[in-house]
Amino acid sequence: MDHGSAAVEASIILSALLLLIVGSIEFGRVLWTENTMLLAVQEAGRFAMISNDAPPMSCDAQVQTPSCPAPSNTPLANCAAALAQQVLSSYKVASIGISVKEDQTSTPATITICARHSFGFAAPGLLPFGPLNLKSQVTVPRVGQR
Amino acid sequence: MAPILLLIIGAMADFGSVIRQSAALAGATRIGAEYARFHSADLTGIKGTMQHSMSFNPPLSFPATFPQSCECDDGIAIACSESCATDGRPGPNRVFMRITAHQAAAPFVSWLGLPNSLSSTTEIRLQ
Repeated sequence: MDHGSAAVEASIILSALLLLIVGSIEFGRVLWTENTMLLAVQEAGRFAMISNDAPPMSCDAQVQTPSCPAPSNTPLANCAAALAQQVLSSYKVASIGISVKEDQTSTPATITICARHSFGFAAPGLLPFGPLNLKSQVTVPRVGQR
Repeated sequence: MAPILLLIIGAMADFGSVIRQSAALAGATRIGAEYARFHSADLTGIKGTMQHSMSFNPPLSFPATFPQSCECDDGIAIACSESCATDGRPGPNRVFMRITAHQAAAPFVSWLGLPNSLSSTTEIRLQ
């Protein structure tokens, strides 16, 4: 009788412990991904802040990211988006959408960099919720505009 | 068992939230410092740039001024009102500015060891 109840208790505690360990790892991954997204948009924001309208390289046109402002198809906006993607790839974070929008109507002109990612849990069977929608956005004034 | 698990999960969530808040605050001071490189006398602009760079809730607070410090090329400090050249020391004055921002931490529970307010400082060279 005693051996049986010990096994039942152990199975309850072990499953709770497993859930806690997996949950901690997944929570850490969410936090790390979001922090990296924040770093990427901030780096791109600082680049856009001090650059003029003609960045020294040519960059591909952006693609609209869901839940982010519509991107501006200008050389600076495209290159800021490319820089953010470069930061993300250097941290081995893939499939994050970046949209960069220029607002020339405000004074001073501003530029908004938005990153969005649909975070899927590595153990969806154990943690049957998600995906989580992560979003980081930064708006900076254009101080280097000529 | 359940209360302990809830306590651990709650503490992890609060700790994560404070780390996230702290990273955003550090990023805002870097953006403010970048603005200060171009407009070091525009304190309102520096503060506004930091405040509006992200949607900060609770809002940021700032010191009344951002202090400047100076040194010569030998790395030794000098009063900003003095000139390295006049003092016979190498190089023109290097001028630095310290950009600081504070934000109240907003954890669900005041855990032991978690700060009530966060602070971040970035120092930038102006000249």
